[in-house]
Amino acid sequence: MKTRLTYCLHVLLTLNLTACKPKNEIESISFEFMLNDQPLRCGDNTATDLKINFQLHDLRLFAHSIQITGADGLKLPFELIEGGYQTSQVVLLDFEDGCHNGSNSMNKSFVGHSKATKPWKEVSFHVGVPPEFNHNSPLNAHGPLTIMDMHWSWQSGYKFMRLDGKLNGTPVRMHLGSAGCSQDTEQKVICLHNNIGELSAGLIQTQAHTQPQILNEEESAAHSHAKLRIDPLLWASNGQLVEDHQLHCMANDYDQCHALFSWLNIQWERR
Amino acid sequence: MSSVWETSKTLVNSSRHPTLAIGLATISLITTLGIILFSLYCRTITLNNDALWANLPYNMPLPNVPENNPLTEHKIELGRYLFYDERLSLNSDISCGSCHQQHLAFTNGTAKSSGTTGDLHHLNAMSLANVAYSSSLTWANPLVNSLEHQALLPMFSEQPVEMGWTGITERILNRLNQDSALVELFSLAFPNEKRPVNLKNIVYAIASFERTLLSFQSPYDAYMAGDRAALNASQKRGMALFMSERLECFHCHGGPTFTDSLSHNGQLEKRVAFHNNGLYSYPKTQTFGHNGLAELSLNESDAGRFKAPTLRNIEVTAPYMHDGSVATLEEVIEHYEQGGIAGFDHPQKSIFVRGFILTDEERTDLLNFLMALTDEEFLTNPKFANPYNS
Repeated sequence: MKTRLTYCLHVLLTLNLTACKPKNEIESISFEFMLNDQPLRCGDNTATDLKINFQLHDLRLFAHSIQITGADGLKLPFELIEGGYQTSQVVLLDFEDGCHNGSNSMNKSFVGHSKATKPWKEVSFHVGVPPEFNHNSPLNAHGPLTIMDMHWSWQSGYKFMRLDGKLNGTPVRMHLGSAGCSQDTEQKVICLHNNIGELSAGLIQTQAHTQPQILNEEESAAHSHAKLRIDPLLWASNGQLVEDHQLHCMANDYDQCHALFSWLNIQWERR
Repeated sequence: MSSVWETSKTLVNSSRHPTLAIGLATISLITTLGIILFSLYCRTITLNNDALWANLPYNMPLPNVPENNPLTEHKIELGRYLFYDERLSLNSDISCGSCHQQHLAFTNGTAKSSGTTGDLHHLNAMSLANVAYSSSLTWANPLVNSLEHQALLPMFSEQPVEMGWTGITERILNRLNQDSALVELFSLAFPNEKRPVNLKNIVYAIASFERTLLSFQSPYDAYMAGDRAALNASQKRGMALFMSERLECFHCHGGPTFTDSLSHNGQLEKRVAFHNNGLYSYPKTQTFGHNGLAELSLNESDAGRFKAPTLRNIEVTAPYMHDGSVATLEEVIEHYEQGGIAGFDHPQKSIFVRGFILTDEERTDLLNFLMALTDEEFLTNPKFANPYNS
């Protein structure tokens, strides 16, 4: 009799907890890159007072291991919904609208869920593709991992981030990916420098300008917005523009990539 | 016996029910026809492996073929068309076959090849003879170990731009989709796919064609198969020199494909090797356009290390070395006689590049042996030729 009573209480408690569980709301977090306190656009970005023109050709990056810092200061994961530019583990942010090359479509937001306490304070994420599937064939991948502009064929991994353009006419090519890679005896690819970066930005609750692509018309999402400044990639700490050779980084040379590595908090161990 | 019995029993029962008998007979007929048609269909798409491998030397193991890209006749044929299709480059002006020309054993006769935007490649175009047996593709990249992976490099390379696919994949696919005859070849090669014209299928077809580029019909092969007259006396002496510990050539250019980066079916351990052959300065006063394996590994001890290319058809693949900096075979022999370029004593230089002294007659013999590796059938086989020219 006692056992039956315990069982009934257990079932009732479970049902009650399930009923009280809050609905897991869909969230979207949009991003905007800033240069000289102005939103960065594909094409010309001119700051007359600073006498610079940055012509953006391409800006894309992979993000994973996304976390949200809630109102209580606790960091909790942001779980991605699968679809479009997202898999459940990685998302491609695309700020290139075909102004120079590539496709017209863009993707400036993450869509998913998090149990972080509202209002959210900050979003942080890793820049890159997780090493466990970075070296898989893109021909058998899906979602954003099929986008060959972001695959680094000769390095056998993905370009985690690419920033291409011209700064006052000087070509800018900053490509991030794993470097110093080789295969071990079990054919697994290991890299001296995984080069996974980190970025974080404060969040502002706002109204979405556009419905996230992977949601249908019936679905609605709460929206947050974050701004990321790319100024440190182009300006040195002494207030001068970075030297020309530092505008060409292929993720395999510390001196050339110093600005990018610093911005992404990548600790490059010289070997 | 029981099955015969049961069949007979069914027939007896059916005879009592004519409608059922007609129905069963119809189903049986349809099934039989279906099986026959399916068999015929499969025969057209499944490769007769015996025919493909018929020209391999009797003791040559089969190459590895990825399980997810089995060879079929339709795929190989589509791959041949795509290999020579200039629409596969940004400006519709170059194809794989531009830098890999059949009569030059699928090299291009110049030190550096030019891409669709005019960028010069920093390395010499390699021969595709027997690439099905390569354990690593390109000059210095152990990570590129399948033809499917390798095809992506010229397509999407940005520094230098080769085929120029980055950012325009859809545009190129649209071009191909407008050619109904080509789309039909895609449909035959990849049946049951709604949109067969896609990147994966292009790569899989080209890789399939490249796997058929087998070169084992040279005078050397005839000699090894038992025709003692296939090599003349000078070539035989040259072969003995080539295989000698005195010259050391065979250490890096050994085995059936004359390279030590060999992969084949049933192999216990894949062999991947890279060598610094004395064509790389130390300290690095001249880079020769490429840092060798160190470009990938970031390990300075890999500087100047490159894959030993196949020597099959070496007579027609000038200029030589990873940078195409050596114009003739005579100069290549001279390079190794000197033990590499004088003064370029890189600490990683291969211990087998230590120099040797040849008489004039020996030098001629060695050269004549290398000429015996030319496979005329390979250089002229219409199955490997540009189908758009026929």
